[in-house]
Amino acid sequence: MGLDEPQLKRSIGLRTVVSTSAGLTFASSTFLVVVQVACYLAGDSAWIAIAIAGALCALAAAAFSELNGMWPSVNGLRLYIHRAFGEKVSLIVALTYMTVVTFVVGTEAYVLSHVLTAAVPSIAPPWWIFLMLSVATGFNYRGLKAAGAFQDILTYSVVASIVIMSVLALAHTHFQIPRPVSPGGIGPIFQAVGVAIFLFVGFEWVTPLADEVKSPKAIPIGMFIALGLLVVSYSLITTAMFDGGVGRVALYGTGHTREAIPHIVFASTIFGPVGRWVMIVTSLCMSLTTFNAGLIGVSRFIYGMARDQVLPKGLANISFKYNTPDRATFLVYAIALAVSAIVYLTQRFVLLVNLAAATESFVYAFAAAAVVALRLKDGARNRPYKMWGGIVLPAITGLLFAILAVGVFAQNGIENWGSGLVLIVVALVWWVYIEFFILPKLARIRAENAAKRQSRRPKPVS
Amino acid sequence: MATAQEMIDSLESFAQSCKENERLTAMIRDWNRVLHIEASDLAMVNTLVTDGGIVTTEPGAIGNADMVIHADSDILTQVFYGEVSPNEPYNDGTLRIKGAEEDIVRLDFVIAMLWD
Repeated sequence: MGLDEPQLKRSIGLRTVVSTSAGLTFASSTFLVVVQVACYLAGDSAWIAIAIAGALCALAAAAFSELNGMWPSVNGLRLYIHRAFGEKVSLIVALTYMTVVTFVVGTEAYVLSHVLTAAVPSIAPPWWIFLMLSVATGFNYRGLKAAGAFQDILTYSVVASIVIMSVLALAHTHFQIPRPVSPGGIGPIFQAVGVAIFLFVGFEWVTPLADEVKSPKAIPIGMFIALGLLVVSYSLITTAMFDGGVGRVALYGTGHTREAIPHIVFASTIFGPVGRWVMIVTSLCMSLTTFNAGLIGVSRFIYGMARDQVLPKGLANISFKYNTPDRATFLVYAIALAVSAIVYLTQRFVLLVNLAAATESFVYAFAAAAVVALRLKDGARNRPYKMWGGIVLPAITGLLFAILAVGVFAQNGIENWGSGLVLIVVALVWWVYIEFFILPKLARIRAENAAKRQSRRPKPVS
Repeated sequence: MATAQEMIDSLESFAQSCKENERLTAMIRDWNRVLHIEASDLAMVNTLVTDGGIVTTEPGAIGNADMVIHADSDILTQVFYGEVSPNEPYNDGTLRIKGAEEDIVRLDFVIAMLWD
């Protein structure tokens, strides 16, 4: 590197890229999903659906890698869709996605509150929800976040805990897995894969680190390794949970009352109090990464949108003391608290999990479609990483994810069609807001700013 | 395409604007950073340094950067002269900022205090 080439002081290695990508997906609510996936399928075949979902997410990772290689930016998805489909579509997709992510934070707080009540039964879940969200928001407001070495320790400890507990539980049954390849047909696999996408939600949120990594290739490689780790971890824990002798009803609940903390039930039943505490700590670590990514990510997104005048400008306020977007942070806190309260009162956490799984599939479909559109519109641009398969594979990837998302909504039960309804309402609200209020306002503001902006450029001497 | 001299002048103008803004000077007193400004079409790098609230500019890439700002010379001179908001080129990918997220937020705040 020559004297005049810029060099960054800080840089991140592959280990941290992997831990960040995998860590962003970990959540206590993922255990609800592994149970749901297993219950769609006959035998002990959940690993098949998890592996297929992981492989599909690897295709999405390839799409994100191509897009991120062209425009490494913290704006990520919003920028890619803007370049591919224009400002309106990018704003609607990004705002809808971030709304759903806020719902996920609320759902996660609900699930974690039940985990913590299992640890300290004298404190009821609503108090835990309030406490956890308040503490996480306090850290976010102070600008403290899990990063670098801490993220490494957190993620790899969670992976080790899941793998070790799974292997020990399987050892209880002498590794007897009665029907590992009998899923019961294509239909159940399709349903299970649609929901299993939730297990990988957020792996691509590592792309904003593109400007901080030592090697640009670390992002795609890191995402692929992280997906592999997740497939192995979730396949093992699902098989262990259902082969350890706990029983489906204990893990799933009944049709009307779903079990919110199947992982605690599993660990308590197989390993007793020690296992219960290990799983509580593991669950807490998993939720920490969700809060970390969700609260920080959404609050920074709201701040950015407010700076761009898409959301009310008051939300672009920065704390003078901590240099963090304070109003955006507290808005996310208020929304997450409200969502948690609604989930607590209605017990409809599965609806929000389905909503998140389907929304994420749509987001991956948009990413793959953006790859196709940009290859057609901007084929000459340098692509440091190129998704293989011409435009055919990205197109198929987009189509598959769109079908999976619709498949989640198309099943019987309010938890499924209800999640589709919520997504349609959220997207419609944002569409009306963007189409009729924001785009006309932005056009006016941009014209006014261009006219009134005072240049400090010296006037040429005539 | 801007000239190399226009690039340097725009950065000096930006540094002067920061110096004239007392609230901004107080705000960035604890934000000591090295920023490399890379004009892609000029194959030229300049350095902005914030130290104790004072912003200075130097020709060339001095030291290791905390942040790297990369765009063509026209966009960079327009941004540093305050003629265009950096948000639009940043959002459409024609201006890139490499660095830690908290530094990008702080830089965004500096720009907002100066010109918004």
